[in-house]
Amino acid sequence: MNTLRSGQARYPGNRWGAFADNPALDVGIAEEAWAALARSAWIESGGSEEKFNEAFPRYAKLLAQPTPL
Amino acid sequence: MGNFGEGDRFRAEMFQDSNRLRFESPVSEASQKWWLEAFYEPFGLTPEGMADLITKSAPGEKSSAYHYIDASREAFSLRVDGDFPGTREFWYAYRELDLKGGAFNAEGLEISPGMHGEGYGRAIMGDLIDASRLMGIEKIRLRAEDIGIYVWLKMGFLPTSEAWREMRREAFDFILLHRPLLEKDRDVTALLTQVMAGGPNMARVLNLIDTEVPSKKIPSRFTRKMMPFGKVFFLEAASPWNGVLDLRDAETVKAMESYRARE
Repeated sequence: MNTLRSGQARYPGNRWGAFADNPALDVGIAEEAWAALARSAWIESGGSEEKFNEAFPRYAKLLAQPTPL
Repeated sequence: MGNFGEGDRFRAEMFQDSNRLRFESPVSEASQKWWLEAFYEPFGLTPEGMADLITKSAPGEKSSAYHYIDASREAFSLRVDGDFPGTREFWYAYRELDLKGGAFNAEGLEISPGMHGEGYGRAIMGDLIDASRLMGIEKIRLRAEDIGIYVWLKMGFLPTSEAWREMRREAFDFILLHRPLLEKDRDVTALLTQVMAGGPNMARVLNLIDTEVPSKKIPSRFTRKMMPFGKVFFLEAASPWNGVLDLRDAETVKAMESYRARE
């Protein structure tokens, strides 16, 4: 049975599917919520928020923005 | 002697084959009783109703086959099949419930190629999540393969501890491989330290790394296409993983709800 994902017909043998043509394409949990989950994981593993902010400055900025009510 | 009424007949008939439902092995009286107590009385779910519920978003006519319903293991396994009306496209989902372990196993899901990229796979997984929450099931397990190595992580699943150990080794090597590029954006030593110290949820940190690194798999005539590290790692370097979605994890569930409400 053919189990090609979208995009794989052109790129046989890889997993990229529709992501291959568009680096910005994403699925699932939205960027800000995803960054918050990653920051929690970082801190849970013993890392500091400061180091997380240094490692991921773009996301640190995103997370620092006030959440709209 | 008790009265044998319409309700009793209905209860017995729900375990018999019909046009849309098949039992590959007969359901014993004990297993029928278990089903009624576990699913029918509290939630009104017949075997056919269960199949409909866990694939609610899938369009078209459905047919279901129960491989077994086993009271002694407090488990059942089924496959639900369907097609997309007006097309020659199809889908099917294998699901197994381990009630003792409080987990659904999402054993397999196939959407025929013509319907890929339409979000049906994620929607059908969403149905399983909703059904699990309704019934108080705490976990959904799956095997992440192919494009799912990336997608299921973004859906809130995490590798098991064992799978994480392998993923962590792969990540360590992949970070070192791309160290010169990564160092332009971040402290790689701190990153490596946290990845090695952390548990399975550090997979989310790996995914967040947005430094562009060259893809080895996307064909490009002249130079390698640059893509975010977080995608290249999961779509090219990471091995298939066994994963779990923990529905008791309030932070993950909240994040999932926000995206499901949006889609």
